[in-house]
Amino acid sequence: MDPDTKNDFDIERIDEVVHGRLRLGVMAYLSTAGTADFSTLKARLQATDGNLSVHLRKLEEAGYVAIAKSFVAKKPLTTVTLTEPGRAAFIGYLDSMARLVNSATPSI
Amino acid sequence: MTDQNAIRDDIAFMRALAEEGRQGPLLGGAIMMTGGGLFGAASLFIWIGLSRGLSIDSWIQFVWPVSGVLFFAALFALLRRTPLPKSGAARGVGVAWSAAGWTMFILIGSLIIMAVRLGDSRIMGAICPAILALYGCSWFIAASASRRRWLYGVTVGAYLMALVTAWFAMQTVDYLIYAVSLFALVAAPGFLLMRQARTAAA
Repeated sequence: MDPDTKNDFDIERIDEVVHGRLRLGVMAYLSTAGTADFSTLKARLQATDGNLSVHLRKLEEAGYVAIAKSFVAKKPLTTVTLTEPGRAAFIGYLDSMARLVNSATPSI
Repeated sequence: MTDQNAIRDDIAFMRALAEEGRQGPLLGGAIMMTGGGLFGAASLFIWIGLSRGLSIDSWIQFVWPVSGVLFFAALFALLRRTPLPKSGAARGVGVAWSAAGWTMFILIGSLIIMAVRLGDSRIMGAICPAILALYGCSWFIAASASRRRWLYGVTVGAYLMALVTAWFAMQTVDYLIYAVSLFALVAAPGFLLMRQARTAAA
């Protein structure tokens, strides 16, 4: 799929799972970091525990992230890792956005 | 228009970052296959020679140096054909393998110096366990960085065989065990990684 192709934007092809503000932030952060712990994501995205948990669960249900829970120095540690389908979905989302911008650009 | 161009550039930049993080194939499988195959064959030759009553001072003593020269010749040729890694994981694993290779080289040199200085050839018996432990370390890094679970199996195998070769050190059968270990735990995984890289490139 060529993201530079003009006027082929289809709103139905926008991935709703990625499109949420907080979920988009998670995906964008993980697309470069690969893996992050819950506290880091919470701080970088300025989210609350409950809100971030809800959105991470939604991403996990879609198979876009993998969540692992462990203990470090007797404290619980939750790590979130972007999966390959998640990365593909994020790239697909960016392609959709690129098409949206292109379709909004007037032809010269 | 300028704003839209900036947005387009930003999206393209984010896309490039996301693409770069993709789990690309691990490179260097051909090098592992060649190294494991060559040194495994060398160990097998030595085992055959010793089993037929030949002395370690016969032509057998030249098997390791000859296989070393052949490996370095192959290494230079293979490195020229190996593409640059595209993902961070592949880059990290490549560095780990390079570091392990140099460590093996220095370790063998150090043990030879010790054996000559102390006049005790038994020190050379430490080479096989040390090298297999280093392969285990390299596979551990590769398994963790690339998230390929089967490589953890190779890691455990290499560590286990390091202990086994330590147990049989200075016995003729140790060469056979070492040869089988190199074929199964270095050459074979190297072949699989090489095939995966070729499939990904196709």
